[in-house]
Amino acid sequence: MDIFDFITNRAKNTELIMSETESHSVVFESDFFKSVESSQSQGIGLRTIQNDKIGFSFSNDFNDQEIVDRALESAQFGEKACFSFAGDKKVPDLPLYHREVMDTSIESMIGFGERAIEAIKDYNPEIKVDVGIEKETYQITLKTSNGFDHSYRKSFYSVGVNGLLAKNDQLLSISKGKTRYHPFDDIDSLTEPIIEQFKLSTRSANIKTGNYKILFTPRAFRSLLSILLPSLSGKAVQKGISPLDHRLGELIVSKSFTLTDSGTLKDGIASAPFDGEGTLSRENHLFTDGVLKTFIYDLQTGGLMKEKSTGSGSRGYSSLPSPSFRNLRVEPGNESYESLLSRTLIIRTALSSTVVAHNQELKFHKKLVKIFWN
Amino acid sequence: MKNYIQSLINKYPEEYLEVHYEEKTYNYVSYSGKELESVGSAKSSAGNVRVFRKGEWSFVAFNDKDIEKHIQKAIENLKYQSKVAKEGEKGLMKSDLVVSSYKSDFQINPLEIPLSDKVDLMSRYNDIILSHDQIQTSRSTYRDSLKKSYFANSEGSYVDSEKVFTGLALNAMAKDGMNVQRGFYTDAGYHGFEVVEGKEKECEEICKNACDLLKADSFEKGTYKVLLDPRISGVFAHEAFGHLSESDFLYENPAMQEMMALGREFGFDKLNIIDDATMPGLAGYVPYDDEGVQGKRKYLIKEGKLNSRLNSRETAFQLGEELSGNARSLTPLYPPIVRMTNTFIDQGDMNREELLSMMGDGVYCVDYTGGMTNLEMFTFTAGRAYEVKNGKIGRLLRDVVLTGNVFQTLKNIKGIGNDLEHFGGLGGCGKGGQNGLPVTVGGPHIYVEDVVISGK
Repeated sequence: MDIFDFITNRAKNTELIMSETESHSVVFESDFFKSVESSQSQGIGLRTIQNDKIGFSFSNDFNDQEIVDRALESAQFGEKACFSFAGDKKVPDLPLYHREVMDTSIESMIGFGERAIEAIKDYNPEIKVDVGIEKETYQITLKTSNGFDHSYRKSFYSVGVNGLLAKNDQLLSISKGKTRYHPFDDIDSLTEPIIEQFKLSTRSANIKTGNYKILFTPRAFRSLLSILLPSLSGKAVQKGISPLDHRLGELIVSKSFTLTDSGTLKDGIASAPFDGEGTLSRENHLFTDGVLKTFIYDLQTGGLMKEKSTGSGSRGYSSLPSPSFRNLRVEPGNESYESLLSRTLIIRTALSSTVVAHNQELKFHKKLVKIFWN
Repeated sequence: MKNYIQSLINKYPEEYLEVHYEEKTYNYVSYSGKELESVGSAKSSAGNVRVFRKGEWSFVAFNDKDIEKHIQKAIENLKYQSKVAKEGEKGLMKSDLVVSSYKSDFQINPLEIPLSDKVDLMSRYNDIILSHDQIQTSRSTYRDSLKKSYFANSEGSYVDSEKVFTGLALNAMAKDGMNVQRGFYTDAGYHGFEVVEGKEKECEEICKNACDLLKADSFEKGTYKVLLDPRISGVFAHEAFGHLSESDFLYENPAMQEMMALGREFGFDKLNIIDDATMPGLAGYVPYDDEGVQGKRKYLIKEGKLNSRLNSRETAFQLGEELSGNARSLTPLYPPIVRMTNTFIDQGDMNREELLSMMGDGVYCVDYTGGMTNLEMFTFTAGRAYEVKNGKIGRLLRDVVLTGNVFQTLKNIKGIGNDLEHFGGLGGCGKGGQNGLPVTVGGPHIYVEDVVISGK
């Protein structure tokens, strides 16, 4: 008997998520080929609502029938459910799986790594280079006793390159990574930014403590955003700890700032036809022209707040859904990079890594710069 | 299991092969505010196969039960071995043959405690926290697990173990307008249910800490003399120095080896930093690591000088150093890498009052909220801090963030207390994507000069 049929015979109000993942990677360490790694993993997560209470358990054995007993025991104590499991619905077909990923040979991945190392060593043989290249596919299936029964597959091709230079009790580590749904071969997109930063590091400048206008690169801005994001979770609002509670519709930040979270963004790494509990993915407009427009919710948090789910219920098979961001996008403005460059300080990556200070030309500052803001 | 795994390994006598398999049973209870957000139990299993040939690895991880299929896959992947790999240049340090079976100790077996009792206990703690007026919300988490592990290699070593891990984490968030402050307590290790009982006082303390911080002052940024309490000094030892002594970071990098040359002076002669895998009950208790190497107590810094490093078999061979038993993986789904166990600054001979007097004017940092390190740079946030004048503890401070370079900061340690403590918890250590590995941090009070503190 299929595990879902077994479960629904024992417990009437259920949701089962099934996950299967396969990945293969090659690893280079300090300039040399190190290992080939393969991974297979699978798992099931079972939620049930019994007497209006949520129960949950998980297992990596697709035939683990005791999962039902564990979930039912959990439901004796669980939180009161403020939602119903997803019902049947039409689900869009997003192009998230590309067969070419798994068809990419290990030999070609090794060749990619060797070329990336060569490119950086050609610039400076003292730099030690690590490379990791991975191809991965996974399949998610979600079934509910209300009739939802859909799956999707995704494929990923990821490359990470790191250069490390050690000199005079100072260490400089610069990395660049890229993940796409399909294989790619342009080494330059990874190695050239690393080499550029190592070149900049040869021209140093000092910064005095003070107030500056700051230009954040997209990567560094992610760190700034990470301070704001917890306040946009419906869970933080529900617990009463979001400083943005009761401020929907207010101008909170600059009018030039528009922030969207999309579960359907084309080529967005976190895109999927539905979230971890069967709510269709969508675009959520968080800030529009500086005005706070919405928080993000999963089914339970939305239910508690008398709001609908925003399709943000993310999870793995071993966890309960929780409001999480998918593909965050800051809408571009219309000022050129050169125009923005007239600002005096560029933050290239976050606190932990490099800062590029600019005084008429790009120079490099020693690593740790603390930024304080309200 | 032993005979089964060894029979599979023996089919490939020409290779160095390891098999690691584990089965785990968990129980968990987590309150978030008034809501019991997650409660229940689960099971999981996972395994890996590693093959080492001429300095290169083939690694396969899995969580189905077909170990034989995955050994075959790992052997098959050897065909990708690079043409440049040479015999002799790389290898694995010889390790003693080990055949061992052990169990962790406990007083009260948590797996025999009904789930309802665990819910009742955490409900009681959570209610204490939420009963305080200014506490906006809470997070009260309990976890226990039983892990059965099996390790075998083609040299004949075999280790199996049963380890029971129990712990809790208590969070109180106080809020006054836009000002949100936190109090936090956690304890966890290879103990039984006894480690989570009787924590009512801790519940009250974290609420007081959070509420007091709402009224605390911010501090002028600058460079200060600092007294670190045992918890934050332990975090400093782990984050700022401990990761730099993990050899997989430098074993193929001559420039890094020069920077971290054994014998190099890092601090004054009373400074000793130890990593000890042999301490029963602590979260970093690793009698045998994930390569079957026996755990040890080792001085990383001895009398101020770099004394030894943390090694795997591979890094020890490359560096010509002793084995230390520090190859660990978070779960068998990851390859073992060099990790800490129980890392601490060993105690000195001064008490807290003497250190305060030695400091004179400065900042007393207590507990730890968060932070990060990147290579030799670190930044930590003190849980709370106090202004000290003429050796006397004064007003409470908040948002005190310490930053610095580990080489300079270790040299600036000028006094070491006699009150060593070890701290475990539900959090754990993160490295290379393997986040949440059980470890402890530890230390006594330490007095450090010239620490950069951020503030208003």
